[in-house]
Amino acid sequence: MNDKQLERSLKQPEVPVSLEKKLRNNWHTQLKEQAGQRTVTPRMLMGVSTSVLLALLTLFLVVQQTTPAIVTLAMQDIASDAERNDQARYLFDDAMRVQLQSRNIQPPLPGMKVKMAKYCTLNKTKTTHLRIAGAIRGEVNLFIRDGGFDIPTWGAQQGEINSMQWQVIHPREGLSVLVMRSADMNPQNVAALIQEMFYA
Amino acid sequence: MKLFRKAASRAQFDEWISTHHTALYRHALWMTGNRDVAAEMVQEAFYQAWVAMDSLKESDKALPWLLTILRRAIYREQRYQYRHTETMNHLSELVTGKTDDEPQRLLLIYRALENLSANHRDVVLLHYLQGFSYEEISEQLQVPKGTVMSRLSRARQVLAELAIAAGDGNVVQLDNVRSEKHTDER
Repeated sequence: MNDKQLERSLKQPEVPVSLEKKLRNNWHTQLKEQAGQRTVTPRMLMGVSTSVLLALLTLFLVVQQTTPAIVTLAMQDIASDAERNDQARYLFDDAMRVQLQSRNIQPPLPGMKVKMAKYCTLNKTKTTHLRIAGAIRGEVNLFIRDGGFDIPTWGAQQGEINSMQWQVIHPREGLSVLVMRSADMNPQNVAALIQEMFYA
Repeated sequence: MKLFRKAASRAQFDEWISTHHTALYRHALWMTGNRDVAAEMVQEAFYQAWVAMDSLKESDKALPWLLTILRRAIYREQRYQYRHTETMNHLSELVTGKTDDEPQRLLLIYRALENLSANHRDVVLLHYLQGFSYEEISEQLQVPKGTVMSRLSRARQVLAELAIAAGDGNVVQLDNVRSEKHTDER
């Protein structure tokens, strides 16, 4: 037997006619099983995890950059006050002084004039609004509320709106203050004011 | 995009079944000597091939890739099940039928192959049954071309010796020297 004969002999065994069909059937069964149970590969898992993390990070950054609704409402209140002609009605009178002291809040520093003191309703909650002029220039608006401002802890706690710097502070349990400072007011003076009024 | 790729893979795999199942079955049959086991091994090979299809970079090398999967599946099966020892008795009934060669001759070839080491048997089957060149076998088995040639030469010698020992030197008297022309044809 030479090489050619060996080759021919090795190719002699018959292949079952049904084999091809059987192979195809098994493969189709395999395909159906795969469709039923989606295999999660480490690569897929990593991809999904990365996407979720990126989505969360993006959401966090968006929330961080978004001005809370309460700040916008406060800004609207400031704007509407500026158009009023009856600001003299809202002076820092004894009643307001007593009311603040009853909440353990000290009056503003003597050098800073309270241009307006009133109550307003922000998001259906009564809020004390003090508009205080800076010693030299600018002004700061304090929105004082018992409780919180409905801003989630992961949301922005400070930022800028209409060229005013805003920040939410919590001097103590059950008391929140939204501080809105005009750009031309000295921030150190504001810090001193806050310290004196709420932390003294 | 992934759906299109999957559809293309399915079409290609379907073609592989049509084109290569015969070669794989005969290869498995000569390795196992049992028709049922051979069919089972071919199924297993195609199963594994479908699962790992993405790992095949060159689609024109599907047959060598499938044969590698098949050989590994058979060796794994033989190691754990020891089916190899049970197959010889079945072979005589396998080779009867519409064959040109006498069943006795095929049985003798099978026994001769079985007496070869796995390395030598792989080379014989890849070269004579599948028609791969030395270079192609070298690539598939990841051994130098010289090793392929020496294994084939040694295998031929052993097959011839076994044939003579079986008292049928005329049946398996292999060419000792392959002509250059024949080698070039592959």
